[in-house]
Amino acid sequence: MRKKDGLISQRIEDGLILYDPQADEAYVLNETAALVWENAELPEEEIAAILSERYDVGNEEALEDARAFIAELVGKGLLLPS
Amino acid sequence: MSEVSGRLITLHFGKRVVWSYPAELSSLFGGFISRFRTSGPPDIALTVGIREQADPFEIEGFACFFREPPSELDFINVLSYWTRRLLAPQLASALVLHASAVEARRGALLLMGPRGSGKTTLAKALCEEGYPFIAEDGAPVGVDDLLVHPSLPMSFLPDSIAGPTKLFRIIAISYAPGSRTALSELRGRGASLELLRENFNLKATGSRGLALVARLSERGIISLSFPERDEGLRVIREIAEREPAPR
Repeated sequence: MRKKDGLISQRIEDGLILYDPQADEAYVLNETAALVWENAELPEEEIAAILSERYDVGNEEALEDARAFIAELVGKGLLLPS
Repeated sequence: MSEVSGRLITLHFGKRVVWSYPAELSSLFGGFISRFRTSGPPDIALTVGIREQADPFEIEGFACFFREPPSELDFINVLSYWTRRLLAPQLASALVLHASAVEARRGALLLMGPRGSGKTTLAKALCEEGYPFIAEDGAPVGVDDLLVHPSLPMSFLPDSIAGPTKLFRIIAISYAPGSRTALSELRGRGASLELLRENFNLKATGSRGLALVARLSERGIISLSFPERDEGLRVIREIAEREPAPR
């Protein structure tokens, strides 16, 4: 996966703001979603391992969460197949 | 949209502007505006109309509608406000928040919220109590220096207008008749959502605007829901006089 060109992101204390200037749309992500976004170009299994370590959850659960959010990002056109 | 017919004239305010307007408003366009008449292909087409509506005037992008033909002075005020609204999306050095602003002891106090939230009503009341006016309905906050830049008022005439004023507090207001007063501090995501919703030009300010949103969300904004004007004023006065300035 690769991130759409031109996106701007900004860390905030409890998450991240992601802005798509082309569409003039902004998204406010929580900590977990921000972590997925920041690592979104890695393989899903690696993202799951990062989540699993950070939040002390099982690998299966982390993988499920990562896949669901990545699918959402793909649906919004923010992540593209590489 | 109302039907608008009438002759067209072209103006030059840096750009060539074409106006269309109904016969009832021809005195306005035949008066002071025709002095700016120029020729050439238009860059902007503006429509001014008359229609039945609750408010004295309503702006919908490149169209402005009046409930009844305005006086020349009212039209100039609306024109000034409308121009700012049209130009705001292109402004890159300041994020224009959907807010009215007054100058309090510790700096600019912004009342931010959607249409009907009470921004103008409360700002007007505060100005009547002696707070200098800064902005009505659109408050530009400098992306680097947090200065709130003043503009001309539109719907009332304050006794004094402040100069550029350092931002003190942003209050996201909501007029909710029949409810109880609710006051809370929003930070992080909660504050970001409000700021992202209530601005006119994030696109033009780009990464600097987004950095400002993050900075403001870290400082925190106040969320105030109030059931009636005097109660809203009471709470805002307390914030203006007693709250310490954020980091």
